[in-house]
Amino acid sequence: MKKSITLLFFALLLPFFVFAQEKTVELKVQDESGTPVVGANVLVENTTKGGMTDFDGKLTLELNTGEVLEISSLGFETQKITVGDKNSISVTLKDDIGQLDEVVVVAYGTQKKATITSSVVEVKSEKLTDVTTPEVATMLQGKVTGVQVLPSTGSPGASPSIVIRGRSSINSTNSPLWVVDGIILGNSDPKLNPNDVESISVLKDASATALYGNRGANGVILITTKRGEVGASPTMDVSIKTAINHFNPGNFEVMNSQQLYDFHTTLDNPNAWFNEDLLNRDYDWIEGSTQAAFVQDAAVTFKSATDTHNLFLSTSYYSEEGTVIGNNLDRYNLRMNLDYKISDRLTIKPKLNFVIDRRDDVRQASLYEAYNNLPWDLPFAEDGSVVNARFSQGDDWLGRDKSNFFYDRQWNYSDSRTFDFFASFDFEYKLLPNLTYVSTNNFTQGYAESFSYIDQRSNSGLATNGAITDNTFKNIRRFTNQMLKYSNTFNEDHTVTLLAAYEYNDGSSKNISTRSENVVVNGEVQSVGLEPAVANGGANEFAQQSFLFSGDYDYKGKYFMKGSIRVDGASAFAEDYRYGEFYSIAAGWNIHKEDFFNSDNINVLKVRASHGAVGNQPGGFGFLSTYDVKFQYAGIIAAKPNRLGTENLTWEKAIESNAGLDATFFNAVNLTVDYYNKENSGLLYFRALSDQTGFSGRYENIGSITNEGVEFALDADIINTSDFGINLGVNASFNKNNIKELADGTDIIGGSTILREGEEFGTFYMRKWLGVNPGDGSPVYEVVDEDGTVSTTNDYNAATVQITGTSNPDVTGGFYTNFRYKNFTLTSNWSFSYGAELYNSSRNLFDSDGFYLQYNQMVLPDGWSRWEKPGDIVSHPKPRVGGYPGGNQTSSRYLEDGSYLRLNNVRLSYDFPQTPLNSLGVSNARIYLTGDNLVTFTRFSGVDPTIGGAGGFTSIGYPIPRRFALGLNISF
Amino acid sequence: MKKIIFTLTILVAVVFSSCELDRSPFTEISADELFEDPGAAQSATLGNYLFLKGDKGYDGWSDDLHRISEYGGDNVMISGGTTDPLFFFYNYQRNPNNSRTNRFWSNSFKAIVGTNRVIESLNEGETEEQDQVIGENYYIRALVFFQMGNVFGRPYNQGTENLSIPLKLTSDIEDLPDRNTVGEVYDQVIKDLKKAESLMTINKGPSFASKEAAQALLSRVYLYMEDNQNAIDYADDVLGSGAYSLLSSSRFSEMNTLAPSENEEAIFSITLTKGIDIPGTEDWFTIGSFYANIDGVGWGEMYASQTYLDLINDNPSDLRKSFIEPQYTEDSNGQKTPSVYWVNDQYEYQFRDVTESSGTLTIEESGNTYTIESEMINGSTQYYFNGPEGRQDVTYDYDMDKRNGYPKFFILKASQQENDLHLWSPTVSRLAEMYLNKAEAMAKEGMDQQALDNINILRERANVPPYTLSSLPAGKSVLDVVLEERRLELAFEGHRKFDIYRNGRTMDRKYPGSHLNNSNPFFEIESTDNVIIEYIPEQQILIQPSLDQND
Repeated sequence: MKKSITLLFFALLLPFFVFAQEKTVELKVQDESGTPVVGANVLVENTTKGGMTDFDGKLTLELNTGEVLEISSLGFETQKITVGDKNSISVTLKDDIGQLDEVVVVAYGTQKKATITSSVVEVKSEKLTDVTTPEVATMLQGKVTGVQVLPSTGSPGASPSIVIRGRSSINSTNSPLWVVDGIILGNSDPKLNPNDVESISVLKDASATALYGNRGANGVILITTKRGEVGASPTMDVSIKTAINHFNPGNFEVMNSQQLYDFHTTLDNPNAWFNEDLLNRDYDWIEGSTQAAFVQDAAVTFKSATDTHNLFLSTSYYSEEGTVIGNNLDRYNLRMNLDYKISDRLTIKPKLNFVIDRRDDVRQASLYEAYNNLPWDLPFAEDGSVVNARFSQGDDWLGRDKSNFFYDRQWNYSDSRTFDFFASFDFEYKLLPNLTYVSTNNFTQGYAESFSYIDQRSNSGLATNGAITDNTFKNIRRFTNQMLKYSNTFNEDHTVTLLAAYEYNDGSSKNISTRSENVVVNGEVQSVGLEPAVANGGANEFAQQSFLFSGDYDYKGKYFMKGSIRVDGASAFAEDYRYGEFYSIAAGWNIHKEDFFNSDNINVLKVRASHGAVGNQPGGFGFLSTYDVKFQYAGIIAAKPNRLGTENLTWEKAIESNAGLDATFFNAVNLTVDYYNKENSGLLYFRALSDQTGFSGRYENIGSITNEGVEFALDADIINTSDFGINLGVNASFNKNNIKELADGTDIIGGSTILREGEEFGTFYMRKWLGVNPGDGSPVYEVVDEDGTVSTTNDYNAATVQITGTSNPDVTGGFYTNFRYKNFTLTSNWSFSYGAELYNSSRNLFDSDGFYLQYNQMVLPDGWSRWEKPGDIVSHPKPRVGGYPGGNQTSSRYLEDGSYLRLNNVRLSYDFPQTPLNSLGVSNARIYLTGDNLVTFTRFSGVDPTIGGAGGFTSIGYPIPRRFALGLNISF
Repeated sequence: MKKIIFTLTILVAVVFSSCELDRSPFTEISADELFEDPGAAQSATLGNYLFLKGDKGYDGWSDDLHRISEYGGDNVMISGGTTDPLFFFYNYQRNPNNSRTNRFWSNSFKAIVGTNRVIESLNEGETEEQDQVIGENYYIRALVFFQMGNVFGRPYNQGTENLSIPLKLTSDIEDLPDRNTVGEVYDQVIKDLKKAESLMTINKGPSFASKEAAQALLSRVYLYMEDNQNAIDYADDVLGSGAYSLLSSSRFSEMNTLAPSENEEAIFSITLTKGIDIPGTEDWFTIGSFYANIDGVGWGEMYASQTYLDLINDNPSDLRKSFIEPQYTEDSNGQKTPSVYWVNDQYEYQFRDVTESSGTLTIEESGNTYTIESEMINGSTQYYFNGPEGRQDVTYDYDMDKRNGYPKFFILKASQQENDLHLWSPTVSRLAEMYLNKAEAMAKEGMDQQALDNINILRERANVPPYTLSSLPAGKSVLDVVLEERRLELAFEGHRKFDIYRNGRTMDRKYPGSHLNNSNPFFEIESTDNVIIEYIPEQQILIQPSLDQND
């Protein structure tokens, strides 16, 4: 009896003995900087026991002492640790440098950053999404050295123009080529959702762009859209942003009632309408035509990636009101990227993207009128009705144009829609272990339609009793690239990558425009117009085919080189001149990998050099002499000489050499310096011929322009701990532009600019204003005789037209600051330009010394004043009725310093702590506050020194608004 | 698996199925293709007319010519400033970069080279139709050379050695002649017109050139040269052809509404077609739109000058007044306000409302009341009042809508063709001019009575009393009266400026208008002045430095 009870007792206790050996152990995994490693795999050796660390890097397991744990995670060296006595184990994983070879997207593939020979700058998504914009191009402002982003207008959805390494083409485009996921889309900003962008690579030198052949001369912008993250669990990101925009007219201000009255008093305005009663009326036209505008930006993305599937789905809605009333944009985006590994060999990669733009009920106020109209003209009568300025009697309405945009706006409006559809069907097939067949096939269709309604009661509609206009535009592009890629490493030291491809690209577009007049009120279709008035239509086509070859080789990651060649044929040239070859060759040396190199402080030191030839392709049919058959005389179609053709018209060729240095110091400071020398020759130029030829000119390949410069980018992690970080970066580029050769060495004069050998492209050519004669307040110009004697004159016609400055800046660039404290981050991004001159065309109207009595005039900025009495040394002549002959015509009087420093963006963000989030099922949440375009330091008296492109001329335009945004990003 | 690869290969093949790279433009024809067609010469000739008309009826050769020739005369005034370079034709503030002058020069040579191309591609004497086409091109070329000579070269009687324009006689782009002399240009014009006269035998109506059009232009050219007998003879050729007749008085007063094909008086007009030219809202770019605002369309900034109005008001029944429409103000009941107006010493209009009580008309002036008196002079009533500075003659009419203080006397002569807003086919030659050419040539030859006979035909048509040698206005010679008649009849048709200077007269600009509002106004311009002709476009001289600039 006693024995069985003891046995039973022991039997009952047995499990406890067994269990007593297994204990609860808490494992904590972190990396070298102390950050928890999420999702690290923990496996108990020789068992199937294990798990993954959570969002705090922790995992709790039942373990036995002596068991060996294997802990691994992507990017880290796998570690083994034995379970000891303690109940908590802390593991620090080391970075696995071998697996973390950063890879950069380049032409037709990727390259390891370590062995790149070309001038390529990659900007990742986090650095791009600070600004609030629906346009991808705007995100690059100030961020990449050598890349100038010039906004066109502040209208919602307007895309900026981009110039890389200076302007080099006179008549063809200076815009870079855009490539999205390997598909060449053209020279204009593709309508991409900025939230879909994973990274942008800007290819700057010939060795980077030569593979784009006859379209690469202006640089290439490669966009890669997002994919899921292999190894991570499926995530859904939601981001919501609301912003408020303010109209930002810069330094330009027009007068109010009192100021204008005082100005007219000094002018001695003799008109009967000029009397003190005017001071009782003071309408602020700018305020009446602008508003505080709202932006909504909401996006949802879904990512999921496994060994066989990689899916990225995103949808977004962007809505922006214009700061000028009456023009709002709604944009909808949908994208699906799928990488599906059907078998070991075959992966298919379909992609779909839709973008829909809507502008509804557009009744945009006229900014031109808002600036021009007088404060003494009130747009609304006392009873609130809108004044019809056109039919005002006598001096009831003083403004010269007799125009009150509020009137027609009551009824007239327009709508527009665009629908863009991108479909790619790409696939990769592994023929052999090292040989892959890559096929990229894309079909893009764009469709745009617009509608405009003019009411019979409006002034625009009076003559025709109203009108309805419908326009449609359709555009199809096809792109296909069939490529073989070979990549192999021999003897561990020699790595070779080769590619060969055939590419074909074509497109066609068609547009139709119809207009009916005499329409019923609120009509919406052509049929309600009794009189068909206009039917117009046109079409266009182009095609191109190419062969590409490229190879790169590296030895131990120490010495590397790359070469490429591409042959292009295009429809824009005559049959005999259709094909061209473009090549590049480059080499580099990673000095820090040499045995003799022994510096702890210098981690990376790389030098590289490249040389290549690329092309710039015009459009159109410049080689054909043609007759126009669009017009009639006495009702019969007439054939009118249209163009004098040039049969041997061909590409512009750009030959570029580039030398660069990349260095990293102290593991925290990155420096890149590039020197480049680019010559664009055979420039397509519309050479003016004497009118006596019967043509104003014709296209020829003449002349060459060089751009030589230095680009400099520095990025420094000044402090980088888990709690606190300071990161600063600056980039600057110095470009010197020179016209090396022109046909026959003769100057080409166009309007107010001149192209002359030895001068820059973008040189102003006009009469030189010297100031105001202190004796009598009249304008003074410079006269330069043939022998060089300089004298002065008051006569505009007698003044000598001469070179007066250039529109090219001496230096452009940007800088950013990034401060991080625990979960808060404060960043700022600036861009600047120094040394460019800018011609303020609007001053012809607004600074006319009295020529225009019935346009509003600009308020003179500080430092400028008008002549009043003999002895005054001032900037402006004595104002008088009728102004001065030529006084407000083109001269260097209106040529101003266009330098500026702009704070593009400031952003304060807070990342919510992980723990409380996780309980809600949220993995990440961030809230942020941003301000865009907060302040611009400039002496330029016009609206905005950055809008209007690189040409050097700007007028009153729709300025870029100032924005304040609040946003929230949540990941599940 | 194989199925998938197969499908993919087909897909890829389908995608790059077309690799042929030939593409063509859609809205143009290559020159080679065009001249393969037998009708090419006809189409290309129409293209030359098209340069004269302008693609859509504005901004063409005749548009800029009108601004240069009419605005420099004394029939018009502008009520304010304008950015449009036509302003400088009006106020004589010339500028070698005037974009309209540049365009006129450029359009002229485009038309000239266009005609040269057709002339070179055809042989004379093959068929009547072909000769007609060749003749039309010679006419167009001559017309363009002639008018260019008037714009850039001095009048013939100031010296045939003066510089005029380059005579471009080929379509070769390497052929770039320098400026020829005035004499050479006139010789070429006459040669071309005579050739045209001999080749053209088909009269297709006033939209196209014809033998009679060549003769009409020859009459004018000889008149400008002061070869009076030839001027008379060629005018008689046109009058005797029987192809044209003067519009009746009632049709004349609506002359601007007639399309050229409906106008029996039109010899050659650069024709705009209703429904095709000036589409949609583009009336704002026309000549007529600067003269008037009709149905809300038009700038309405340029009006009839005070001196022209004074002249035409000598005979209030003059039918030529139907081309001027004063914009009277109306109150809410549609009533006009009786007013008097005059022009003061500062060339400003002074309007005063007239109050009537028991038959007496009075006005208020600087706080005082003055009575309006009247007296008869030469059969018409002259109103006046005795003001603080003495007698002030006034016009008694109604109050008018004004712009910057200038009353709006809209000019309708360049608008309303077929009652379509500002549609208008500029007249190159019409029958009335033949009478005027004859009258002027005769007056210069001392054939006074015959001169008067010719202008009396026009006066009768215009419903004004004829002149007799004994009833000429005091101080006026027969030539004076003939030139006045020419002014009245051909006003707003682009003749006046040339007529004054070629006759050695002084342009009198002493009347209200914004031409006086600047630091260097021209109250008078002598015929010997430099400013009467335009500068050669500066850009053209920069491209071809051997072209001499005008003073």
